[in-house]
Amino acid sequence: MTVPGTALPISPRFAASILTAGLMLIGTAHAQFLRSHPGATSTVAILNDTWNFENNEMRRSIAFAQKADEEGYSPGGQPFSRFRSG
Amino acid sequence: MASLFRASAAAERVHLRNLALAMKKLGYEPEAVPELVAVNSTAENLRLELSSHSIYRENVLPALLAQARQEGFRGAIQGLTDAGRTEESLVKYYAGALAHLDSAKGKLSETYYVCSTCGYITTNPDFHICKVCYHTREKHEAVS
Repeated sequence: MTVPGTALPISPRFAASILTAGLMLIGTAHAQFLRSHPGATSTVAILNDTWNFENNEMRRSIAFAQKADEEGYSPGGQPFSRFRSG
Repeated sequence: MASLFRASAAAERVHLRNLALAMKKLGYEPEAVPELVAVNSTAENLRLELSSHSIYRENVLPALLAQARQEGFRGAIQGLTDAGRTEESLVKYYAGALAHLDSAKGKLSETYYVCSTCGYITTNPDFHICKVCYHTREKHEAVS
């Protein structure tokens, strides 16, 4: 089994655990949002689900960047400098 | 490698803003359901990100988009479509990073240009406009 869209190998168990964790999180956020907002449409709950996925991804990316810095990847990086030229 | 994670965070920040705006237009605010962040080695972290973004792009986003289309909310459709296009670029960069992980240690960081309007990421230093939303170079954030 490979990562979708790539030739990189991945174990079915690992893929299943990721998918399950993602769907569980989305399911939890979805149900919680609809419970606290009875008048909300599915689209609003979907936007909230996607917002939660992106929010957790962002927190993870920041933590992983810090770890990569510690392990000596990308030395001299300057986070979030605004591009001004051209 | 660290710069790729930082670029990813920058793109996700743009998506968060756009999704929150789309929700606000419908009269709602996002409600956070934070999950625990487990940090492993960079190789494992890359593998996790690649799998997570690939599965999200291929399996989860299309289902969310179909539901939004069914209900006809234009802002939501746009936000989810932009997220899908950015996921596509992220998957490509994560796959490349994982393939060249062994030779990346100690090398100078690569610069990623993140569109501050839609979150699309490019490493092409000669780009003029965003491939997804066509905003100009000045609207991009350089992350290294």
